Amino acid sequence: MNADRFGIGWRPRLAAGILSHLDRLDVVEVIADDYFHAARDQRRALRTLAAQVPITLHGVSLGMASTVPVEAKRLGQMVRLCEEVKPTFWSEHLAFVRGGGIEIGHLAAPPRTEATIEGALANLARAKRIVGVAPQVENVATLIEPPGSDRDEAAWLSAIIRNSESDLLLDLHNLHANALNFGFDAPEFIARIPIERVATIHLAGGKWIGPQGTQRLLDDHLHDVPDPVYELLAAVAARAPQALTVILERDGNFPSIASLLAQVDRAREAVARGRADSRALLPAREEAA
Amino acid sequence: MNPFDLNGPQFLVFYLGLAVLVIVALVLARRALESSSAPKLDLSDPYLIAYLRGSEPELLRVATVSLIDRGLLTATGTQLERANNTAAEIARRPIEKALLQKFARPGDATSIFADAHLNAACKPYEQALQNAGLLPNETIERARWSRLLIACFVLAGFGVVKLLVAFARGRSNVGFLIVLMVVAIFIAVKVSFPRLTQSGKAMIADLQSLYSGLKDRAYFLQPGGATIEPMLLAAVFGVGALEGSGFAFAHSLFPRAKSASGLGASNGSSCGSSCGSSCGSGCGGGCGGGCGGCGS
Amino acid sequence: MSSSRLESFLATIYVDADARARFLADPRGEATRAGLAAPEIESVVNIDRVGLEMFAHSLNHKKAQKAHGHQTN
Repeated sequence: MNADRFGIGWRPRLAAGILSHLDRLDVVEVIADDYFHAARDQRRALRTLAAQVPITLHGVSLGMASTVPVEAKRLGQMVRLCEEVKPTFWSEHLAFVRGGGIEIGHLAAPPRTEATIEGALANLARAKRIVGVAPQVENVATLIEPPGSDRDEAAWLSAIIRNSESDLLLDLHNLHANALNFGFDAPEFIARIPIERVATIHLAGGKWIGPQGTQRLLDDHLHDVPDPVYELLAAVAARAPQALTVILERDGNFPSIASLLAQVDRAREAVARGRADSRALLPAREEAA
Repeated sequence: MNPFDLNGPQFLVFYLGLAVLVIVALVLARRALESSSAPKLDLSDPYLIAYLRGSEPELLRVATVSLIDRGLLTATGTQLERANNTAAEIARRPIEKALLQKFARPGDATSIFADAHLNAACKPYEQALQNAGLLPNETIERARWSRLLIACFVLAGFGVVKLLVAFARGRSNVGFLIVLMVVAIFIAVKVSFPRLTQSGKAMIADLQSLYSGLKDRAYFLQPGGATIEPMLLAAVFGVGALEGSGFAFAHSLFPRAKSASGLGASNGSSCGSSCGSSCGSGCGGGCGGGCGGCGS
Repeated sequence: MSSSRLESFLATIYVDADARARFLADPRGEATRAGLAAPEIESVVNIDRVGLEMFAHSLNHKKAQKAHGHQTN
């Protein structure tokens, strides 16, 4: 098995810290949309970054999980960027971001229905055809139970992953938040999804919002990764036979780079613990089989 | 048409065009042959970046400022002295140890620029950057000389032949042509030996782009050596980029330090500012915003 | 049951405060006027109102942050 990799999301604010600690990072995730319209010298700078550390490109505006086809023009932007910087992989979200000419301005969870599954599958196949390689796709956090849904998130997500060539970018804080907000069990979710298709993990933090009694956990990427998310990471590592890429996401309210690297290190420990737990259970599993 | 049969003014125009072509060809050839994909560098070493940006003087400035910032050197006006006998043990890099050794006794800060031991301590940085193709190595220097000699041969050749033709025809008003020859060859020499290779020039511009977020936060960087960020800022943009009263000593010691690359204005806006419009149409990510929640 | 019309309707009430207010005052009427299919109408009549308000509020907050080029430090 290839080694697990650990990294962080690239943010200009963190550049100095990231670049001076590349010995502690295996990969850096870049928001692709930041560079779609960037000047030539900024894209060259991105190639220079890619020469220092493997990078991945993470899109945020394609809206893959929609009954509306993703525009070829938008996919073309991803194609050009991938050709320039040659990322390890590219990824997007199972969300919709626009409708009826209106830009939502954020990732919205689509109704979990057969239609959005088919729409997502069509978009993923189209993306693979145009970009040349299938994207990994990420589960999104939602503050609203998607109206019109006729199945739960685990079933919906599993149907998309099992019927596409896209691997899963499993955002564990999104899972944690959705589980708390809508009353399902995150470990059970992990047990139900095709775990062998999880290629990448996102870790992040959030905060509780709203009036007492109706509070919900917001995945704001402005806080440290909470303890339960590390436990979920260990659980995934215990079940997943394949190598994982684990990315820490932080979008603001930045602590020191030392603090962020400590969170990356804690992720390493969680994965190692999960792998060790899995090996410890192996003789028992073989005996049971 | 034989250019040597042109009359004086006509030949001057021809020669001017020839000189422009030769010089442009020199520049383009150098840029094409000295460009390569970006190498992997140790970006945790601000001194490597400082050397790339401004050679020994910049490296020595940044190292000196770093040692003062960390309390290993003390500055009284422009006089520097090692803080204590254990300072050299704390210093991490050979250039720092060399500086501390130099200032075991008080000395003027500007004496760092003419010190043979410090010069020797800078050599590993030069070598590393040559190995990375960012500074010209011997092979590149030989190639530069070869191209220059060819260019000079062409420029001198056409000029000298015309002079001989003119003298043979009894003409002696050749002053302008001689001046033009000298100027053309002078310019050819000047454009042939830039300090950096094209890759080196691109690397500096790229680092200034990647570190632009750091420059935007210059005012908030804290002295005291707790993080490497101030010295990275100084390395990438010059000691002059350090802001705040905590770094006033740096400006006093090196008042004429460059505040940007000698290549010209720094590369400028981070993607965080330039991508504003794309993020406006995008879904809530980018601009340093990632793809996270709305943070209400 | 889901269509591009439902996604458009949701995008509108997420982003447009006036449209959202009209919807919350008369969800069935607004959904019908938007041309949603019958099952879609039923689904939005029973929409998660708490979540809807929270999501809309957070979208406004994010838009305001971007408008001011704000990044929390």
